[in-house]
This record gives sequence, structure tokens and C-alpha cells, in this order.
Amino acid sequence: MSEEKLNFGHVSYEETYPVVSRFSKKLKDGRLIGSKCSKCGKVFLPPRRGCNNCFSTEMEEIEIGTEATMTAFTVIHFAPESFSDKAPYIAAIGKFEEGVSLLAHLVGVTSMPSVGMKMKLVPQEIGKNRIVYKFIKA
Amino acid sequence: MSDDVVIVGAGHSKFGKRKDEGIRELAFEAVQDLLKDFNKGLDDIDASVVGIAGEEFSGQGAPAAVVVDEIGMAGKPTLRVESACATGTAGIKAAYGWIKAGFYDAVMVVGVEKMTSVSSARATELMARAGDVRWESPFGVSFPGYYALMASAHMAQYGTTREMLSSVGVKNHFYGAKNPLAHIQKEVSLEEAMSSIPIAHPLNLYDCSLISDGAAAIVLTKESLAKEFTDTPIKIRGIGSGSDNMMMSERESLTSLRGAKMAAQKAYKMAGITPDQVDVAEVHDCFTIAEIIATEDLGFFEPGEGGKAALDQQTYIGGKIPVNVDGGLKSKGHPLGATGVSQAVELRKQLLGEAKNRQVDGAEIGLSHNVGQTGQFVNVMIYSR
Ligand SMILES: [Zn+2]
Repeated sequence: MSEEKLNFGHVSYEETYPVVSRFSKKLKDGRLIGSKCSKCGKVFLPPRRGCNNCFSTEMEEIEIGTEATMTAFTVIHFAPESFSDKAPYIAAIGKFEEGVSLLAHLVGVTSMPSVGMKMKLVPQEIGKNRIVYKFIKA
Repeated sequence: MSDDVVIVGAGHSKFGKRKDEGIRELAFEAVQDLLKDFNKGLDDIDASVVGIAGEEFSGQGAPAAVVVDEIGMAGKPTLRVESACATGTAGIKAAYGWIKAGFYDAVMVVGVEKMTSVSSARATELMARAGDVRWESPFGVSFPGYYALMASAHMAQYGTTREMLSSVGVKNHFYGAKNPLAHIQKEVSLEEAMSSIPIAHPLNLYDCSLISDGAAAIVLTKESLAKEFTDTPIKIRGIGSGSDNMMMSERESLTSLRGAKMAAQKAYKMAGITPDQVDVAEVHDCFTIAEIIATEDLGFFEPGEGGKAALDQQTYIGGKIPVNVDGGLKSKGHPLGATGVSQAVELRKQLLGEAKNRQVDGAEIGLSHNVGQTGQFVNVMIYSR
């Protein structure tokens, strides 16, 4: 029996593969799960099925803390076609204590954000089969 | 003694919104221009390389084939290259390798793109897909958005200002106004540039390159055969390349392109020169911040000093290093596949002293810096007389 897929992102441009669906399901439970190579220790966030350093596919799940520091941001005013009705919106890169980073929307801020600000990554469900993460001000 | 690879012919279409021309007509126009001062004919060219970044814009699948046919090269060996916005220089590098390997004596490189047949929102969508479609594009980060992220980091780390960014656009429009092949031949004031509509904060309309149609073509051969083709060959002295992680969030730096730094080092080493020996540079100013970062990555200015240098007009003719004095991607236009070849055509003009009212006096060494996506492909080329 095939499990139902949980899509990731505001839109999907590719198939939702198992590595993404598994990540999404854990995100739904409020957990941010990366992968750590059992062989060489390299950490990946988002997760990968195999390690691009030593080509091992023995990957452990590791939970990443959700507190992040902003390293970059932009306010998208002229959006790609499939986001036209959402603009303007803020996209930011946040760096977690584990040293890995993610790009996501930053929501709920009322003034122009600034690099260095503290943020928190939280899940955001979009309908039944779709989820995404977003940053909020910490 | 090694036989250098040289440029013996060059042609360039008008860049712009070319509503009556598709990829075929644009490529034809560039080759027609090339043949104007070419001592040989197409019969003497053994093979072609066609650079086209995306077929979604033109609608033609495997689009290199129609280009090859239209320019009279069907029947001879050909190859399409794609390295996003660095497609043009990737084509030159492929042709260089063919000649060095002894496959062919003379190779035509044509770079072409038809982009204005789709809406701006659609073009923005297509280009946004050059971001990581699994983890980053699903947040609607446009292509300007990715460079805006870098701009915000550069501003935070070095104190680069909006005024510095805008001054790059002002310069490129100043020179583009002097280039009859440029898409928008119009000067822009600093006030206009700074107050233009926001695209992806901190980037405004005048921080972003144009969505353009156009083509450029060159012919490469061995130096030992050059005299048969032209009296004025231009040497390819150095080629360096690099790349970077796919996701912006995995980059080791957001204020520099590591692939560009690596490409520059390799190209300088191969050419046996240092950055201060470059007389004129064509850099990939897809966005104003990209030009500022380029001038740092190429070693013209220290990291963090590129913005200040731009504001101080150090990148104008007469400054420390003239940059994009043909208008750059900002004003000349940026038909993706054509851009790297266009840089070669412009530098050849400069090195031959044929750039008229935007000539850098006595230019002997020219550098081209061509970036694909947000640094996933980079080629740096060094040309000399
Ligand atoms: Zn490993």
C-alpha cells in the first residue's frame, strides 16, 4: 500500500519524492529533521538520501533546533507568475545553531527586517496535502 | 611552441525587444554581421557550437538545430551548450577545447536567446526555476530575489548602500546610451535610478538587467592559421571556471561567488597576468550588486570596497578599471545564451580600437566574467591583442 504524500512548498515544481514527503510529515509534528552521514558525519538540511562527501546512504536523522539568525533577506515585489497574487512577501535565510541554514518566508513583521535578527522556524500547513515552514520573529 | 586559439571574426545583432525576429533570425543577423569583415566564407569553418540557455522562451525543442540550419552550418559537426547565463562563454570554451584537441581548425560559436515572446511574469517564473525547485523556488524567490539576498548580506557586512548599487546602473546606462546595439540607449540619473520601482528589495528596476532578445557570434581558429582569416586576430590568453552549491542557504559566502574567485585565479594564472594588468572588463552585471561583487571577486577592489569604488566612478573610463563600457547586461541587454559571446565581441572591439566614443585608449588586455544562475556556473576569459 502506498502511503499518501505530503507535498512541500507553496507550489511544487517537481514530483514529491519520498525524501521530501518523510521530511514534510515530521515537519507536521513540529520537528525539523536533517540528515547526518553515519560514515563521515556531514550534516544536511534539508535532508538528503545520500552523502555527497563519501557516497554513503547510511543517513541518521538529526533534529535541528528551530532558533535561527538571519543572514540575508529580500522583499519580493515583482514575483514569479505562480506567486503573483502573494507579493509582496519576505524571503530570508536563517542560520541555525548547528551551522546549517534554510531559506523561507518571514511572516508577521511590521517593519523592515535586518540581517542579524533572531527568528524561529515554524511549520505552516497549507490545506490537507501540503506543508511549508516559515520564519517568525523570535 | 603551443598554438594559441584566436578570435578571427565577430558579429553582433541588435539587442532589444525584437518582436519580428525569432532565434533563427537573430542568429542569422549576428552571423551576417560577422561575415562583413571576414576574409573567408562559411566553407572554411569546420564546426559550430550553439549556446542557448532555455527552450521554454522560444518554443523550439532542441533549438540549436534550427539555428545551425539558418546560419548555413547544417551538415557540419555541432553541439549545443547550456550553462544558464554563462552559456556563451561555455560555448567559447567548448570550441577552444575542440581546436586544442585537434578536432577542427575553425569553429563558429553562436549564442542566442529569444526572451520577450513571454510575459515578464512568465519570464520571471522560468528564470526562478533556475533556483533549487525542491527547496528554494517553492518560496517564490525570483532571480532578482536571489541577488537581493546577496545584496542584503553585502550591505550588512560592508556598509554597501542603495546609492552605491544605483551608481552601477547609472554608469551602465551612460555607456549603453553610446552603444547602437544596446537594448535601452538612454542615460539615467542617480535620482531616477534610486527612486525606481522596487523589484526585490533592496533591488529596484534600475538594479536589474533587461529581458532581451539577441545574438552574437565569433569564429575561433589556431594562431598559426589566423592570417588566412583576418589581419587582426585576438588571442584567448586565459580561461578559468568554477561553480557553487545549488542552494543559496548552503553557500559558504553570500557576499562573494566562490566559483568566480576560483575562475579568476585560474584565468589570471593561465594568462600569466595580475588583475591590475587588465585594461577593460566586461562583467556579469545581471544585477548591480553582481557587478560590485564581481569587481571584488576579480581582484580589482578589496572585498567590501566594490560599492564605494562604483560610487567614486572608479569603473568609468579614466577610473581604475573601466567596467561594462558597452552598457553591460543592464543597458545593452541580457539575452542569456548570447551574453558571454557578446562580451567577447565587445572586448575584441576594444582591443582593436574600434569602440568609438566608448573606447578605452590603448586597451591591450580585456577580461570577461560570465556567471550562470547565481554562481553555479562561472567562466572568466582573458583576451589580448
Ligand atoms: Zn558521508
